[in-house]
Amino acid sequence: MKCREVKRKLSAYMDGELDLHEKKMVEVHLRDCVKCQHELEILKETWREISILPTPDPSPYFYAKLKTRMTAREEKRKTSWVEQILIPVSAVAVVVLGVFIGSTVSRNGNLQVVNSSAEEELVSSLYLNSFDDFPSSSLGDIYIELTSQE
Amino acid sequence: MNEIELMFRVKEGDEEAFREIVERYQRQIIGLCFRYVGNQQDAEEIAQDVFIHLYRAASTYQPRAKLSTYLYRIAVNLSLNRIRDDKWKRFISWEFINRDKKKRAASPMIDGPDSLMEQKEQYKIIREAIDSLPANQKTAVILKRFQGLSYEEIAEVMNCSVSAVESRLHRAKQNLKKKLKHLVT
Repeated sequence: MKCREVKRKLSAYMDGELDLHEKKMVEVHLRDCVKCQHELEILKETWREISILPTPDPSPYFYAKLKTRMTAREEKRKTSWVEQILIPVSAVAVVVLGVFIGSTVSRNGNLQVVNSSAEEELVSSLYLNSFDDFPSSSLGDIYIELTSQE
Repeated sequence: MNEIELMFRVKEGDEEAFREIVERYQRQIIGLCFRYVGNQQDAEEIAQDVFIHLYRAASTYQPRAKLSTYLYRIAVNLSLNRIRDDKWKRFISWEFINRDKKKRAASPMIDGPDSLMEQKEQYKIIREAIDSLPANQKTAVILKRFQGLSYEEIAEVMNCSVSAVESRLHRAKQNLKKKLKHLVT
């Protein structure tokens, strides 16, 4: 085996991943080749060097936090179902009800639950009849008086 | 109970079986994720995502591969996604190094603050060297050096051939050799 070929195999040789035949070929070459021996030593040292990086211990609350997230996700999925289906359905129901009430009111005129005297009082207090004069001393009356002065 | 039995129980909704699986694999999965993201908080968050994935997929579980292969595959993909998304946030967390200092108190390497600074600097250089590798090479290094998988197991996780794993590790070691030559005597 030539140096170039051996160098390509040194990584797998180091990792114990060569088959028996290839392993023997590499070892025979290494016995007599100082350069490849040196190359192997550098690779081993590099590999050892990176292993000094520490590994963190898992937090003792890892499973508890995982469980909390899973429960929260489940709740969110259920809420999401409510938001996606129930709320729109409710909104449609409200609109339909509103249309129904509106059509009932327009057919029957004023709301029949209000008796006529109460109704008149309501209309007069809110100035709902546009063509009536403004009550005296009201802001509307004063405005009209002021603007009509020449 | 072996992992196949445990997974079938998880499939039936057995929470204790799921907890058993988490406790068996949490250290490896957190460790794997940590190699990518460099801080424990993010590593644990990604690891939680891995187990959530597992739980959701339990209903379709078939024992075709080792459970660890499946977990590692998810962990690698989620970690690479996180790195892509959070490139600007990657940093080295020193908190575990300070805790680790107590464990290494007997080590001749540590005899004062200067040694600790040197050690931190060394970790930083090594971490950066590994981070600078292309994704495939980095993954092969992490799975081989830190998770101790065989070439065949790495090939299963990475969904490639054994010769591809061999090639990636060869190139990775050559790259690391160049970047770390001043640390290696």
